[in-house]
Amino acid sequence: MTDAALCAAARHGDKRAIARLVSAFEDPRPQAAPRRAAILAALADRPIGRVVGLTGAPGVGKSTLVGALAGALLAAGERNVAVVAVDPSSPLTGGALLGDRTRVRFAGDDPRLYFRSQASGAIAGGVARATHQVCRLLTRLFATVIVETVGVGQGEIEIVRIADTTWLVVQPHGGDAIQFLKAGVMEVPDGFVISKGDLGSAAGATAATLTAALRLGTAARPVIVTSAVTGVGVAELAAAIAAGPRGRLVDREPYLFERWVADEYGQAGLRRLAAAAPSTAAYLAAHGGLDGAQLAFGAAEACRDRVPDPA
Amino acid sequence: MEPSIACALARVTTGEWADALRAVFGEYRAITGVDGQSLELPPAQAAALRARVEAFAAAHGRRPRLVVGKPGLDGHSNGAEVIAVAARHAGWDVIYAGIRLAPDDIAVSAVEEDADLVGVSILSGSHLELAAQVIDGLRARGGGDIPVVVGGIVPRPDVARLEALGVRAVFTPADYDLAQVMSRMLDVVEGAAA
Repeated sequence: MTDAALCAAARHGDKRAIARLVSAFEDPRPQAAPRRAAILAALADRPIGRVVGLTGAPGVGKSTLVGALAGALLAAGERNVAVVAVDPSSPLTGGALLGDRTRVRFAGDDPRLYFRSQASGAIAGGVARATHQVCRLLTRLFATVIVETVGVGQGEIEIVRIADTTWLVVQPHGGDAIQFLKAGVMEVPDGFVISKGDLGSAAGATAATLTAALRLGTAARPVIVTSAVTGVGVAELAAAIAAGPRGRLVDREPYLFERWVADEYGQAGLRRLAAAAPSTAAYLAAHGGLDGAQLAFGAAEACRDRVPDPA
Repeated sequence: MEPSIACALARVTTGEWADALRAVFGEYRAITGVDGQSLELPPAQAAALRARVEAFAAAHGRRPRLVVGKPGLDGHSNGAEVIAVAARHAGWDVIYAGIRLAPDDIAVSAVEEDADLVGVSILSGSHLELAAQVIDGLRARGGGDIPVVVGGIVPRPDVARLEALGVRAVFTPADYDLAQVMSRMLDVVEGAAA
Protein backbone atom coordinates (compact mmCIF):
# COMPACT_ATOMS: atom_id res chain seq x y z
CA MET A 1 0.00 0.00 0.00
CA THR A 2 1.24 3.50 -0.80
CA ASP A 3 1.40 6.14 1.93
CA ALA A 4 -1.39 8.04 0.16
CA ALA A 5 -3.62 4.96 0.37
CA LEU A 6 -2.62 4.43 4.02
CA CYS A 7 -3.54 8.05 4.81
CA ALA A 8 -6.92 7.69 3.09
CA ALA A 9 -7.64 4.50 5.07
CA ALA A 10 -6.35 6.01 8.33
CA ARG A 11 -8.82 8.89 7.99
CA HIS A 12 -11.59 6.32 8.22
CA GLY A 13 -10.11 4.74 11.31
CA ASP A 14 -8.47 1.71 9.64
CA LYS A 15 -6.16 0.54 12.43
CA ARG A 16 -3.85 -1.45 10.19
CA ALA A 17 -3.22 1.70 8.16
CA ILE A 18 -2.78 3.85 11.28
CA ALA A 19 -0.34 1.32 12.74
CA ARG A 20 1.80 1.26 9.61
CA LEU A 21 1.91 5.05 9.49
CA VAL A 22 2.95 5.15 13.17
CA SER A 23 5.90 2.91 12.27
CA ALA A 24 7.02 5.49 9.70
CA PHE A 25 7.05 8.12 12.46
CA GLU A 26 9.16 5.83 14.68
CA ASP A 27 11.70 5.15 11.94
CA PRO A 28 15.03 6.78 12.95
CA ARG A 29 16.58 6.59 9.46
CA PRO A 30 17.14 9.86 7.53
CA GLN A 31 15.02 8.70 4.59
CA ALA A 32 11.97 8.59 6.88
CA ALA A 33 11.90 12.42 7.21
CA PRO A 34 10.57 13.17 3.69
CA ARG A 35 8.11 10.32 4.10
CA ARG A 36 6.78 11.90 7.31
CA ALA A 37 6.53 15.29 5.63
CA ALA A 38 4.46 13.79 2.79
CA ILE A 39 2.16 11.94 5.21
CA LEU A 40 1.55 15.08 7.29
CA ALA A 41 0.93 17.08 4.11
CA ALA A 42 -1.70 14.53 3.10
CA LEU A 43 -3.40 15.01 6.48
CA ALA A 44 -2.90 18.79 6.70
CA ASP A 45 -6.64 19.54 6.48
CA ARG A 46 -7.28 17.64 9.72
CA PRO A 47 -7.78 19.43 13.03
CA ILE A 48 -4.93 18.96 15.52
CA GLY A 49 -5.83 17.00 18.64
CA ARG A 50 -4.55 17.40 22.15
CA VAL A 51 -1.66 15.53 23.73
CA VAL A 52 -2.13 14.57 27.36
CA GLY A 53 0.85 13.28 29.34
CA LEU A 54 0.40 10.83 32.20
CA THR A 55 3.57 10.33 34.18
CA GLY A 56 4.59 8.96 37.57
CA ALA A 57 6.70 6.35 39.30
CA PRO A 58 6.58 2.65 38.27
CA GLY A 59 3.55 0.80 39.59
CA VAL A 60 1.46 3.82 40.61
CA GLY A 61 -1.29 2.74 38.23
CA LYS A 62 -0.71 4.79 35.09
CA SER A 63 -1.68 2.03 32.64
CA THR A 64 -4.75 0.99 34.59
CA LEU A 65 -5.85 4.62 34.76
CA VAL A 66 -5.28 5.04 31.02
CA GLY A 67 -7.79 2.28 30.28
CA ALA A 68 -10.47 3.90 32.44
CA LEU A 69 -9.62 7.41 31.26
CA ALA A 70 -9.87 6.59 27.55
CA GLY A 71 -13.41 5.32 28.04
CA ALA A 72 -14.32 8.34 30.18
CA LEU A 73 -13.02 10.74 27.51
CA LEU A 74 -15.26 9.06 24.92
CA ALA A 75 -18.19 9.29 27.34
CA ALA A 76 -17.38 13.00 27.80
CA GLY A 77 -17.86 13.48 24.05
CA GLU A 78 -14.34 13.14 22.62
CA ARG A 79 -14.50 11.92 19.00
CA ASN A 80 -11.71 9.35 19.45
CA VAL A 81 -8.70 8.64 21.66
CA ALA A 82 -5.24 7.20 20.98
CA VAL A 83 -2.83 5.95 23.62
CA VAL A 84 0.97 5.81 23.28
CA ALA A 85 2.37 3.77 26.17
CA VAL A 86 6.15 3.95 26.62
CA ASP A 87 8.02 1.24 28.51
CA PRO A 88 11.78 0.96 29.00
CA SER A 89 14.23 -0.61 26.57
CA SER A 90 17.09 -2.70 27.87
CA PRO A 91 20.36 -0.76 28.11
CA LEU A 92 22.12 -4.14 27.79
CA THR A 93 20.42 -5.79 24.82
CA GLY A 94 18.37 -3.02 23.20
CA GLY A 95 15.25 -5.17 23.48
CA ALA A 96 12.10 -4.30 25.41
CA LEU A 97 9.19 -6.05 27.09
CA LEU A 98 6.20 -3.76 26.72
CA GLY A 99 3.54 -4.78 29.20
CA ASP A 100 1.09 -1.90 29.30
CA ARG A 101 -1.37 -3.72 27.05
CA THR A 102 -1.98 -6.32 29.75
CA ARG A 103 -3.50 -3.63 31.98
CA VAL A 104 -5.67 -1.86 29.46
CA ARG A 105 -8.66 -3.55 28.03
CA PHE A 106 -10.85 -1.61 25.67
CA ALA A 107 -14.37 -2.85 25.00
CA GLY A 108 -14.28 -5.11 21.94
CA ASP A 109 -12.38 -3.42 19.22
CA ASP A 110 -13.84 0.02 19.45
CA PRO A 111 -12.87 1.93 16.29
CA ARG A 112 -12.65 5.11 18.38
CA LEU A 113 -9.73 3.77 20.43
CA TYR A 114 -6.18 3.05 19.31
CA PHE A 115 -3.42 1.73 21.59
CA ARG A 116 0.26 1.63 20.71
CA SER A 117 3.19 0.43 22.82
CA GLN A 118 6.54 2.12 22.33
CA ALA A 119 10.01 1.17 23.57
CA SER A 120 11.93 4.03 25.18
CA GLY A 121 15.11 3.22 23.28
CA ALA A 122 17.00 3.37 26.59
CA ILE A 123 17.21 7.16 26.73
CA ALA A 124 16.53 9.10 29.88
CA GLY A 125 13.61 11.48 30.13
CA GLY A 126 10.61 9.15 30.35
CA VAL A 127 9.66 9.12 26.67
CA ALA A 128 11.28 7.76 23.50
CA ARG A 129 13.04 9.86 20.85
CA ALA A 130 10.14 9.08 18.53
CA THR A 131 7.31 9.82 20.96
CA HIS A 132 6.79 13.36 19.72
CA GLN A 133 7.03 12.16 16.12
CA VAL A 134 4.24 9.66 16.70
CA CYS A 135 2.19 12.41 18.39
CA ARG A 136 2.59 14.60 15.29
CA LEU A 137 0.79 11.88 13.32
CA LEU A 138 -1.76 10.75 15.89
CA THR A 139 -2.94 14.29 16.70
CA ARG A 140 -4.00 14.51 13.03
CA LEU A 141 -6.13 11.39 13.44
CA PHE A 142 -7.38 11.52 17.05
CA ALA A 143 -9.02 14.22 19.17
CA THR A 144 -6.96 13.23 22.21
CA VAL A 145 -3.63 11.39 22.35
CA ILE A 146 -2.67 10.12 25.81
CA VAL A 147 1.05 9.55 26.29
CA GLU A 148 1.84 7.27 29.20
CA THR A 149 5.52 7.66 30.11
CA VAL A 150 7.99 5.14 31.37
CA GLY A 151 7.76 4.87 35.15
CA VAL A 152 9.84 7.90 36.16
CA GLY A 153 11.79 9.20 39.12
CA GLN A 154 12.19 12.78 40.23
CA GLY A 155 13.91 14.29 37.22
CA GLU A 156 12.45 12.81 34.02
CA ILE A 157 10.18 15.53 32.72
CA GLU A 158 10.59 15.35 28.94
CA ILE A 159 6.85 14.69 28.60
CA VAL A 160 6.03 18.34 29.35
CA ARG A 161 7.92 19.27 26.16
CA ILE A 162 5.45 17.20 24.13
CA ALA A 163 2.12 17.28 25.92
CA ASP A 164 -0.42 20.12 25.96
CA THR A 165 -1.10 19.18 29.57
CA THR A 166 0.74 16.76 31.84
CA TRP A 167 -0.66 14.98 34.89
CA LEU A 168 1.54 13.39 37.53
CA VAL A 169 0.09 10.22 39.02
CA VAL A 170 0.95 9.70 42.70
CA GLN A 171 -0.20 6.70 44.70
CA PRO A 172 -1.39 6.73 48.30
CA HIS A 173 1.62 7.02 50.62
CA GLY A 174 3.49 8.33 47.55
CA GLY A 175 5.33 10.91 49.61
CA ASP A 176 5.18 13.34 52.50
CA ALA A 177 5.10 17.14 52.27
CA ILE A 178 8.88 17.33 51.80
CA GLN A 179 8.73 15.07 48.73
CA PHE A 180 5.98 17.24 47.31
CA LEU A 181 7.99 20.45 47.86
CA LYS A 182 11.01 19.23 45.91
CA ALA A 183 12.12 20.56 42.55
CA GLY A 184 11.86 18.51 39.37
CA VAL A 185 8.93 16.26 38.60
CA MET A 186 6.68 17.98 41.17
CA GLU A 187 7.10 21.41 39.59
CA VAL A 188 6.09 20.82 36.02
CA PRO A 189 2.75 18.98 35.83
CA ASP A 190 -0.48 20.87 35.15
CA GLY A 191 -2.34 18.67 37.59
CA PHE A 192 -2.03 15.71 39.94
CA VAL A 193 -3.87 12.41 40.14
CA ILE A 194 -3.93 10.38 43.34
CA SER A 195 -4.45 6.83 42.09
CA LYS A 196 -5.88 3.82 43.92
CA GLY A 197 -8.56 6.02 45.53
CA ASP A 198 -10.30 2.81 46.60
CA LEU A 199 -7.62 2.56 49.29
CA GLY A 200 -9.70 5.06 51.21
CA SER A 201 -8.13 7.19 53.92
CA ALA A 202 -4.56 6.69 52.63
CA ALA A 203 -5.57 8.27 49.30
CA GLY A 204 -7.40 11.09 51.05
CA ALA A 205 -4.45 11.82 53.36
CA THR A 206 -1.99 11.88 50.44
CA ALA A 207 -4.31 14.22 48.53
CA ALA A 208 -4.55 16.54 51.54
CA THR A 209 -0.76 16.59 52.06
CA LEU A 210 -0.17 17.26 48.36
CA THR A 211 -2.82 19.98 48.22
CA ALA A 212 -1.27 21.69 51.25
CA ALA A 213 2.22 21.49 49.73
CA LEU A 214 0.99 22.93 46.44
CA ARG A 215 -0.35 26.06 48.20
CA LEU A 216 3.30 27.11 48.53
CA GLY A 217 3.64 27.01 44.75
CA THR A 218 2.93 29.76 42.27
CA ALA A 219 -0.09 28.60 40.28
CA ALA A 220 -3.00 26.60 41.68
CA ARG A 221 -3.03 23.07 40.26
CA PRO A 222 -5.82 20.53 40.59
CA VAL A 223 -5.51 17.34 42.65
CA ILE A 224 -7.98 14.61 41.68
CA VAL A 225 -8.39 11.34 43.56
CA THR A 226 -9.23 8.51 41.14
CA SER A 227 -9.84 4.79 41.24
CA ALA A 228 -9.92 2.61 38.17
CA VAL A 229 -11.60 -0.05 40.35
CA THR A 230 -14.59 2.00 41.52
CA GLY A 231 -14.42 4.61 38.75
CA VAL A 232 -14.36 7.48 41.25
CA GLY A 233 -12.75 10.66 39.94
CA VAL A 234 -12.15 9.35 36.42
CA ALA A 235 -14.98 11.37 34.85
CA GLU A 236 -13.75 14.46 36.72
CA LEU A 237 -10.23 13.92 35.32
CA ALA A 238 -11.64 13.38 31.82
CA ALA A 239 -13.64 16.62 32.09
CA ALA A 240 -10.56 18.56 33.24
CA ILE A 241 -8.55 17.15 30.31
CA ALA A 242 -11.33 17.85 27.81
CA ALA A 243 -11.47 21.48 28.99
CA GLY A 244 -7.70 21.90 28.55
CA PRO A 245 -5.68 23.27 25.65
CA ARG A 246 -4.79 21.41 22.47
CA GLY A 247 -2.58 21.80 19.43
CA ARG A 248 0.57 23.16 21.04
CA LEU A 249 2.87 20.41 19.74
CA VAL A 250 3.81 22.51 16.73
CA ASP A 251 5.04 25.31 19.06
CA ARG A 252 7.49 22.83 20.55
CA GLU A 253 9.20 22.06 17.25
CA PRO A 254 12.18 24.41 17.80
CA TYR A 255 12.96 22.63 21.06
CA LEU A 256 12.38 19.18 19.53
CA PHE A 257 14.61 20.06 16.59
CA GLU A 258 17.39 21.27 18.92
CA ARG A 259 17.11 18.04 20.89
CA TRP A 260 17.41 16.07 17.66
CA VAL A 261 20.49 18.06 16.61
CA ALA A 262 22.05 17.48 20.05
CA ASP A 263 21.28 13.73 19.85
CA GLU A 264 22.72 13.37 16.36
CA TYR A 265 25.58 15.88 16.33
CA GLY A 266 26.20 16.89 19.94
CA GLN A 267 27.07 20.32 21.29
CA ALA A 268 29.14 21.09 18.20
CA GLY A 269 26.02 20.50 16.10
CA LEU A 270 24.06 22.95 18.25
CA ARG A 271 26.78 25.57 17.72
CA ARG A 272 26.64 25.06 13.96
CA LEU A 273 22.83 25.37 14.10
CA ALA A 274 23.16 28.65 16.02
CA ALA A 275 25.59 29.89 13.37
CA ALA A 276 23.34 28.83 10.48
CA ALA A 277 20.28 30.90 11.40
CA PRO A 278 19.31 33.77 13.72
CA SER A 279 17.08 31.37 15.67
CA THR A 280 16.01 27.75 15.58
CA ALA A 281 12.48 28.86 14.66
CA ALA A 282 13.95 30.76 11.71
CA TYR A 283 15.90 27.68 10.62
CA LEU A 284 12.71 25.59 10.74
CA ALA A 285 10.77 28.21 8.81
CA ALA A 286 13.49 28.41 6.16
CA HIS A 287 13.36 24.66 5.60
CA GLY A 288 9.63 24.05 5.68
CA GLY A 289 9.27 22.67 9.19
CA LEU A 290 10.74 19.87 11.26
CA ASP A 291 11.17 17.21 8.57
CA GLY A 292 12.69 19.60 6.03
CA ALA A 293 14.99 21.03 8.67
CA GLN A 294 16.21 17.56 9.66
CA LEU A 295 16.90 16.71 6.04
CA ALA A 296 18.71 20.01 5.39
CA PHE A 297 20.75 19.91 8.57
CA GLY A 298 21.61 16.23 8.02
CA ALA A 299 22.72 17.00 4.45
CA ALA A 300 24.89 19.91 5.62
CA GLU A 301 26.50 17.71 8.27
CA ALA A 302 27.14 14.92 5.74
CA CYS A 303 28.73 17.49 3.44
CA ARG A 304 30.88 18.72 6.28
CA ASP A 305 32.07 15.16 6.90
CA ARG A 306 33.34 14.94 3.32
CA VAL A 307 35.06 18.33 3.03
CA PRO A 308 38.31 18.63 4.98
CA ASP A 309 38.28 21.47 7.46
CA PRO A 310 40.41 24.34 5.99
CA ALA A 311 41.77 25.11 9.43
CA MET B 1 -25.37 -18.62 42.70
CA GLU B 2 -29.14 -18.75 42.74
CA PRO B 3 -29.57 -16.58 39.63
CA SER B 4 -26.97 -18.79 37.91
CA ILE B 5 -29.02 -21.91 38.71
CA ALA B 6 -32.14 -20.19 37.44
CA CYS B 7 -30.26 -19.36 34.26
CA ALA B 8 -29.13 -22.97 33.84
CA LEU B 9 -32.70 -24.24 34.30
CA ALA B 10 -33.85 -21.72 31.70
CA ARG B 11 -31.18 -23.10 29.33
CA VAL B 12 -29.31 -19.81 29.10
CA THR B 13 -26.12 -20.19 27.06
CA THR B 14 -22.67 -19.83 28.64
CA GLY B 15 -22.13 -16.70 26.56
CA GLU B 16 -25.37 -15.07 27.75
CA TRP B 17 -24.58 -15.99 31.33
CA ALA B 18 -21.02 -14.62 31.05
CA ASP B 19 -22.24 -11.40 29.40
CA ALA B 20 -24.66 -10.80 32.29
CA LEU B 21 -21.91 -11.34 34.87
CA ARG B 22 -19.53 -9.13 32.88
CA ALA B 23 -22.10 -6.32 32.82
CA VAL B 24 -22.26 -6.35 36.62
CA PHE B 25 -18.70 -7.20 37.67
CA GLY B 26 -16.56 -6.16 34.68
CA GLU B 27 -13.83 -8.41 33.38
CA TYR B 28 -11.22 -10.16 35.52
CA ARG B 29 -7.62 -9.46 34.60
CA ALA B 30 -5.68 -12.49 35.64
CA ILE B 31 -2.41 -12.19 37.49
CA THR B 32 0.41 -13.73 35.52
CA GLY B 33 3.87 -14.62 36.61
CA VAL B 34 6.84 -16.69 35.67
CA ASP B 35 7.60 -19.17 38.39
CA GLY B 36 10.46 -21.60 38.68
CA GLN B 37 11.94 -20.76 35.26
CA SER B 38 15.43 -19.72 34.31
CA LEU B 39 16.45 -18.17 31.03
CA GLU B 40 18.67 -20.60 29.13
CA LEU B 41 20.14 -18.35 26.47
CA PRO B 42 23.95 -18.68 26.46
CA PRO B 43 25.81 -15.37 25.92
CA ALA B 44 27.44 -16.35 22.62
CA GLN B 45 24.15 -17.46 21.10
CA ALA B 46 22.36 -14.41 22.47
CA ALA B 47 25.01 -12.18 20.88
CA ALA B 48 24.56 -13.90 17.52
CA LEU B 49 20.78 -13.47 17.73
CA ARG B 50 21.19 -9.80 18.65
CA ALA B 51 23.44 -9.23 15.65
CA ARG B 52 20.66 -10.55 13.38
CA VAL B 53 18.12 -8.35 15.14
CA GLU B 54 20.35 -5.28 14.71
CA ALA B 55 20.71 -6.09 11.00
CA PHE B 56 16.91 -6.28 10.70
CA ALA B 57 16.57 -2.96 12.55
CA ALA B 58 19.08 -1.26 10.25
CA ALA B 59 17.23 -2.54 7.18
CA HIS B 60 13.68 -1.78 8.36
CA GLY B 61 14.00 1.23 10.66
CA ARG B 62 12.79 -0.64 13.71
CA ARG B 63 13.46 -3.68 15.86
CA PRO B 64 11.28 -6.69 15.04
CA ARG B 65 8.03 -6.37 16.99
CA LEU B 66 6.61 -9.53 18.56
CA VAL B 67 3.11 -9.66 20.05
CA VAL B 68 2.79 -12.50 22.58
CA GLY B 69 -0.55 -13.57 23.99
CA LYS B 70 -2.54 -16.49 25.27
CA PRO B 71 -6.00 -17.06 23.80
CA GLY B 72 -8.61 -19.00 25.73
CA LEU B 73 -9.08 -19.75 29.38
CA ASP B 74 -5.98 -21.81 30.11
CA GLY B 75 -3.83 -19.74 32.46
CA HIS B 76 -0.45 -21.45 32.18
CA SER B 77 1.51 -18.36 31.31
CA ASN B 78 5.08 -19.60 31.88
CA GLY B 79 5.69 -20.58 28.25
CA ALA B 80 4.44 -17.26 26.87
CA GLU B 81 6.46 -15.29 29.39
CA VAL B 82 9.68 -17.25 28.88
CA ILE B 83 9.40 -16.61 25.13
CA ALA B 84 8.62 -12.92 25.73
CA VAL B 85 11.65 -12.48 27.99
CA ALA B 86 13.94 -14.50 25.71
CA ALA B 87 12.94 -12.34 22.73
CA ARG B 88 13.54 -9.18 24.75
CA HIS B 89 16.94 -10.59 25.68
CA ALA B 90 17.62 -11.23 22.00
CA GLY B 91 16.90 -7.57 21.21
CA TRP B 92 13.28 -7.67 20.03
CA ASP B 93 10.60 -5.21 21.02
CA VAL B 94 8.08 -7.54 22.66
CA ILE B 95 4.51 -6.49 23.32
CA TYR B 96 3.01 -8.77 25.93
CA ALA B 97 -0.75 -8.74 25.42
CA GLY B 98 -1.49 -10.97 28.42
CA ILE B 99 -3.44 -14.13 29.08
CA ARG B 100 -7.08 -15.31 28.98
CA LEU B 101 -7.63 -13.26 25.86
CA ALA B 102 -10.19 -13.67 23.12
CA PRO B 103 -8.48 -14.54 19.81
CA ASP B 104 -9.77 -11.21 18.47
CA ASP B 105 -8.00 -9.35 21.32
CA ILE B 106 -4.70 -10.77 20.08
CA ALA B 107 -5.53 -9.89 16.48
CA VAL B 108 -6.38 -6.30 17.50
CA SER B 109 -3.11 -6.02 19.45
CA ALA B 110 -1.08 -7.34 16.52
CA VAL B 111 -2.71 -4.94 14.06
CA GLU B 112 -2.50 -1.87 16.34
CA GLU B 113 1.13 -2.60 17.22
CA ASP B 114 2.18 -3.18 13.58
CA ALA B 115 3.61 -6.53 14.69
CA ASP B 116 6.18 -8.39 12.63
CA LEU B 117 5.21 -11.64 14.32
CA VAL B 118 2.42 -12.95 16.54
CA GLY B 119 3.24 -15.70 19.03
CA VAL B 120 0.30 -17.48 20.61
CA SER B 121 0.74 -19.94 23.45
CA ILE B 122 -1.93 -22.62 23.81
CA LEU B 123 -1.78 -25.50 26.28
CA SER B 124 -5.48 -26.27 26.46
CA GLY B 125 -5.68 -28.65 23.50
CA SER B 126 -7.81 -26.17 21.55
CA HIS B 127 -4.88 -25.04 19.41
CA LEU B 128 -6.57 -25.79 16.06
CA GLU B 129 -9.68 -23.74 16.84
CA LEU B 130 -7.88 -20.89 18.61
CA ALA B 131 -5.09 -20.54 16.02
CA ALA B 132 -7.70 -20.46 13.25
CA GLN B 133 -9.61 -17.75 15.10
CA VAL B 134 -6.48 -15.63 15.61
CA ILE B 135 -5.60 -15.91 11.91
CA ASP B 136 -9.21 -15.13 10.88
CA GLY B 137 -9.19 -12.15 13.24
CA LEU B 138 -6.00 -10.84 11.62
CA ARG B 139 -7.41 -11.29 8.10
CA ALA B 140 -10.64 -9.52 9.07
CA ARG B 141 -8.58 -6.48 10.12
CA GLY B 142 -6.28 -6.34 7.10
CA GLY B 143 -3.45 -8.06 8.97
CA GLY B 144 -3.50 -11.38 7.13
CA ASP B 145 0.12 -10.82 6.13
CA ILE B 146 1.32 -10.79 9.77
CA PRO B 147 2.88 -14.23 10.40
CA VAL B 148 1.65 -16.31 13.33
CA VAL B 149 3.59 -18.94 15.28
CA VAL B 150 2.14 -21.25 17.92
CA GLY B 151 3.72 -22.69 21.03
CA GLY B 152 2.18 -25.28 23.29
CA ILE B 153 1.26 -28.88 23.82
CA VAL B 154 0.64 -29.80 20.20
CA PRO B 155 0.47 -33.48 19.19
CA ARG B 156 2.65 -34.24 16.18
CA PRO B 157 -0.22 -34.87 13.71
CA ASP B 158 -1.64 -31.43 14.52
CA VAL B 159 1.55 -29.62 13.47
CA ALA B 160 0.74 -30.12 9.78
CA ARG B 161 -2.86 -29.10 10.42
CA LEU B 162 -1.73 -25.85 12.06
CA GLU B 163 0.62 -25.21 9.14
CA ALA B 164 -2.28 -25.82 6.75
CA LEU B 165 -4.24 -23.13 8.62
CA GLY B 166 -1.39 -20.69 7.91
CA VAL B 167 0.66 -21.03 11.11
CA ARG B 168 4.30 -20.43 10.14
CA ALA B 169 6.00 -22.43 12.89
CA VAL B 170 4.94 -24.64 15.78
CA PHE B 171 6.97 -25.02 18.97
CA THR B 172 6.35 -27.84 21.40
CA PRO B 173 8.08 -28.99 24.60
CA ALA B 174 10.55 -30.77 22.28
CA ASP B 175 11.85 -27.31 21.33
CA TYR B 176 13.58 -26.70 24.63
CA ASP B 177 16.54 -24.92 23.00
CA LEU B 178 15.51 -21.27 23.35
CA ALA B 179 18.22 -20.04 21.00
CA GLN B 180 16.85 -22.33 18.31
CA VAL B 181 13.31 -21.05 18.93
CA MET B 182 14.49 -17.44 18.68
CA SER B 183 16.42 -18.22 15.52
CA ARG B 184 13.40 -19.86 13.86
CA MET B 185 11.18 -16.92 14.86
CA LEU B 186 13.66 -14.57 13.17
CA ASP B 187 13.63 -16.83 10.08
CA VAL B 188 9.86 -16.36 9.87
CA VAL B 189 10.10 -12.57 10.28
CA GLU B 190 12.92 -12.25 7.74
CA GLY B 191 11.03 -14.48 5.31
CA ALA B 192 7.86 -12.38 5.66
CA ALA B 193 9.75 -9.09 5.28
CA ALA B 194 11.75 -10.20 2.22
